[in-house]
Amino acid sequence: MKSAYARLANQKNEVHDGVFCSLWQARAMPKALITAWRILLGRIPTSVNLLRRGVAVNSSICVLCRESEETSQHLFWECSFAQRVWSLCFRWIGVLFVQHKDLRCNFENFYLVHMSIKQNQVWKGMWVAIVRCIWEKRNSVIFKQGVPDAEEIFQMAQLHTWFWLKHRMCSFSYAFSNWHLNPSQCLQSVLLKGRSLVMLESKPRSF
Amino acid sequence: MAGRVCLLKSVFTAIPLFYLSFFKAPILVCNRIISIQRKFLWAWGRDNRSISWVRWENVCKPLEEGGLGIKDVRNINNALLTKWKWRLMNDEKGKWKDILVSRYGSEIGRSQTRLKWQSCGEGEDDDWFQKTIVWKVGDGGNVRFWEDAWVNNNNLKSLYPRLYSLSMDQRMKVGEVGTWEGYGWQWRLNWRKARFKWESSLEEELLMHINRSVMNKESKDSIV
Repeated sequence: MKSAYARLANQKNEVHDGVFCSLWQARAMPKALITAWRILLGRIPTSVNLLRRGVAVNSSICVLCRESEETSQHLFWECSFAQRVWSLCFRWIGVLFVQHKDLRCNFENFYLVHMSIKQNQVWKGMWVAIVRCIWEKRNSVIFKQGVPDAEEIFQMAQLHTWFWLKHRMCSFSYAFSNWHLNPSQCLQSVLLKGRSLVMLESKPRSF
Repeated sequence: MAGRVCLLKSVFTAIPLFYLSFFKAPILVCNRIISIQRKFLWAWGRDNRSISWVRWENVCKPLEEGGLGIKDVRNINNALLTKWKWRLMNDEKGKWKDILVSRYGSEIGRSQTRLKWQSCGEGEDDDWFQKTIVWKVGDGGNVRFWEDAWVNNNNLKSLYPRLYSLSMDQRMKVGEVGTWEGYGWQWRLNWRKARFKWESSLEEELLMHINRSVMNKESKDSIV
């Protein structure tokens, strides 16, 4: 049955995409993963996307930097505001900040060379958390009159990742202050024993 | 949204499973089911308005290809029905099979039979199955010599199109294209006309090719 289904579905499908393979393996909240999935596909209700679909929006200017049109590419990568968040993140882990050409490229290269595959899965979770936090910030600026603050977004992402790790990984037993001060050490000592965390296939959880 | 994806996978796909495993769902029904699923995924509320951000075909792709890995109802349906076809052809005993065979003839499950079992996939759906299955030849009573894949996962028709067009027994079974002589099997191919030289060499090649698979008087044909 399974092979037959694969065969039937395969008639129209193309090759595997490494980006999405590593996306679903990232250790992050399923909710955030779905958001990240939509962001990578560029299917997120930014004002430009909404305008194109005929929804009345006040303006299509990015609310974070107020400089350019709010496409998903801009909001999460090109925007000077987003760049600040990313550079904070890279400085935190102690890696040189590289200017990739787009968001997808950034995701592909968001790994730490000296770490194992599983540790990098955790690290990719950080990427997911960051885009999710940028998105939440953008929404709160629009709907709740929030104030854009790169520092705050970054700290939220840190907190989210730490929270997720703390509760989903038995071997992760660091306090937030440790995680905040010395992330690479925390990552390095993350030992993922046989227990696999199946995210989307597992029992429905409410968020 | 992640919660809804989860529900879609576990509940929505499971509800119609029983019916899908027995009947060919009409296109209308499939479309209706898909539309319900899609509306659920993109959270259509009471006001019945929402944007489907990603095409349904893309949502149905596996996770590695940039989809959400939700199964397409149409494909599930066909795959489940194929299982019946597989069991029909794979020499299995059972009352259900006897009944079907007496109604539709022993070639049931094969395409191009006169009486067709309607509920078991038709048209192009059927073709892919015929093209995909690979036979392991036993006594050669079920496998078509030219049209079925029984040597090297490929059918002889596509390997030797020239010879196929010359052949007298295009619809013959493997067991009919040759005879047992003592313990050995002797191929007997009939041609419409005398062959040119290059065609004869092709024929030799073909014989070499098929001699590699061993016929067995005792065992029945089976699919791999």
